Amino acid sequence: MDLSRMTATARPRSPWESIDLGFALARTWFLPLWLCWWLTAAPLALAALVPLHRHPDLWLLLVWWCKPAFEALPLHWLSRALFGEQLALPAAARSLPRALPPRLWPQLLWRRIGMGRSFNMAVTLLEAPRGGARGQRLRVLRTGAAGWLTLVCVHLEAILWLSGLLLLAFLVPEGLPTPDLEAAIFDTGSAPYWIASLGMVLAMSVIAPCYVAAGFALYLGRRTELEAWDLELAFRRARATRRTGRLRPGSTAVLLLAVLLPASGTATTMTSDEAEARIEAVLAHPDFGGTREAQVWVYVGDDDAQPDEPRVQAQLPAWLIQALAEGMKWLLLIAAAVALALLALPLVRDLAAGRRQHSAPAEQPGAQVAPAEADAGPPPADLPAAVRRLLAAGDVRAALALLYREQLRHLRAAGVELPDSATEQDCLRAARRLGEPRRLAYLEQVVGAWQAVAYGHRPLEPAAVTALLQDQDTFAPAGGRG
Amino acid sequence: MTEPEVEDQAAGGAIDTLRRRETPEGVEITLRLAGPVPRALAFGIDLAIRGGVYLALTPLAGLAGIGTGLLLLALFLLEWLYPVFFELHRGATPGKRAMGLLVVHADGTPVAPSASLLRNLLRGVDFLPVLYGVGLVACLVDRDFRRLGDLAAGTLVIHREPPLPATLPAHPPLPPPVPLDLATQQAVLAFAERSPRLSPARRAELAALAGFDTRATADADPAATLLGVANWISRGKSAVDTPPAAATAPQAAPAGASTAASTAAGERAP
Repeated sequence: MDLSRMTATARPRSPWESIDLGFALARTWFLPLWLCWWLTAAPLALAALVPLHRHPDLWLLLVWWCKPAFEALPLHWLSRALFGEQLALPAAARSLPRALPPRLWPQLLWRRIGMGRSFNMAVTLLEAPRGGARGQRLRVLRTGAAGWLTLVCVHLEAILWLSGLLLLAFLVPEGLPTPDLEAAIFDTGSAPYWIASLGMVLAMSVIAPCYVAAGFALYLGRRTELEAWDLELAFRRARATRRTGRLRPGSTAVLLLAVLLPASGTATTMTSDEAEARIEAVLAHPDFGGTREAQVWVYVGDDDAQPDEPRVQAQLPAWLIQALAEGMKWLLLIAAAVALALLALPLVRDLAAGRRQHSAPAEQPGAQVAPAEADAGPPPADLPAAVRRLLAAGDVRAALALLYREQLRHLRAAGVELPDSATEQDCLRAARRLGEPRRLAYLEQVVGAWQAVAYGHRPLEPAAVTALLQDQDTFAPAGGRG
Repeated sequence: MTEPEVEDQAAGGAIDTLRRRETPEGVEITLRLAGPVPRALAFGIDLAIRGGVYLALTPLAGLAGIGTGLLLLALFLLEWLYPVFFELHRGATPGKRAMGLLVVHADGTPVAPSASLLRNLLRGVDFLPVLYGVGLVACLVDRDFRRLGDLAAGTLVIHREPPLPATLPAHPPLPPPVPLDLATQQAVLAFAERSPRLSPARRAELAALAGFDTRATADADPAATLLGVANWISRGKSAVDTPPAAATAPQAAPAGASTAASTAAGERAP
């Protein structure tokens, strides 16, 4: 075992960090480790299919039970790769007899169930202790993290398996029959169960390299800790450096020590020039800062404007340029003013329109509903004549408005308080409170006709308005008109 | 500059879970990435804590409508903001702290609100299709063990710095027979620190490997000579009056405290 050829850093690690190193190792060499796993697992799984093709659950149990056998070859491969010897797949297959020694049998029989398998496998297979030595060795090396590793890896396997299964189920298109997940897990012998079993073996194969490598790394970590491998490497290197008698260029501290330690002989005999040269040599080391290239834009003056200017001046006289510039300036100013005016004009128009709307308040109820004639202040002196005139002119709406306003005038005269904002229905309610059935009935007729014409835009015969006018005439004297 | 880096060059990129980052001050810090197993255990602890809180809140369900509302509110807050709250206030959730983990930005700075929120909101994606299936695959595939939330937020989950190692065994200081470079100084200090845990045979073997000429010193035992040199390097300070700055120097063994050690060397020189 040559520690200097180790491809992982030797340093004291906590058990958790060792496990992480194992996962890093598995990630680096995943494919060879995975193939090594299948190299043992595939023949056994296929051979077991012959007697167990009717019992996928037993088949899965067998494959699961034989996991230590599948993990032996990846472990063997890994222990070689760690020291720089990465076996190709055929070579790994040839080393199979060495990777599966007889001492593996207990692992497959009475030592199969146990939380520390990954770690114990590394000790058993790589150190090959005999008899009682194994137990003693395990007691020395034991670490509690191996149990946690097994626990977590069981869960990771289950998660990977279930995730894969669900992903597969989710990806089945809608038209096809929905996959039976229940059968996949419970119904032994069904097709989904077979798929789930194969998925389980696949999940095992993916987690196995991580599990093996993590157990192996735990073992490495323990031995590094107990035997101080990192110190061995450091001391060997230091000795090699001393033997070559040459200081490594990277060790500035040593240079400093050599320059400045009173104990060293050179310091006393060195002249100031020599010292300066030495100091410069030390300061030139990258540890004391280096050079860095950076690109920035710096203004250096406009040098290409100079040659252009005289040429233009030579072609055109100065006064012409001046005049052109002046003219262009005024042209632009005028254009700007016109554009401004064009923009402002609609704005002013809108503002004026807005003000006019605000300054047109509704004076009386009904005024806003009959704007054409009726809002003209006082009622006409001769109402029937005015109505007939409007009807003759074909303006049914205005005629009705006059009638309606006349009724409102009566209501007000009778002492009913009608605010300007009162609607037709408000007026009717007020008339009801007044308690004049005949007038109320008439008002309802007028309002109904008015609403139909003014809001409903339904045509109304002038004759109907004339009838209303005549009805109004019948009780006009009684209503105390005027 | 430090020992592992040299080894990196020698082995053509040794496999490790260390990531080096240089701060703007030019100090190199080392992040020790945490992989799926410690993180899964931390998640288990957090799950148990949340489960305990839910159990304590179940009497709320007796309050009919408003109780159910409060329960749902608690469920929402705990599921989505529990990790954010703890990551921002203490650096990691209680489960992660129990496992000695820490959430940091990729450059090693403490995690900020936006990154924490992002990495925890993406738990919803990492959880798919069931029980962090996507997160697990991402964790296994990514070089830095990051799940999708970590990738999006630019965060890492790392192991906290270990507690400072034990102090050096007392021994009269001895000047080293030859000038030692930084890596060797660190190795000598680490040897002195860890010698109580090494077997006597291994201790002697390592000391012989160090190969210091012991004829000039009073001790015939190479291991004792190394202890003396270690005490000389740490300026002969004993366990009792060792200030924190000097205490970090021995920790330099594999990585990390190279700056402390070089400072020590620089200070000592005059």
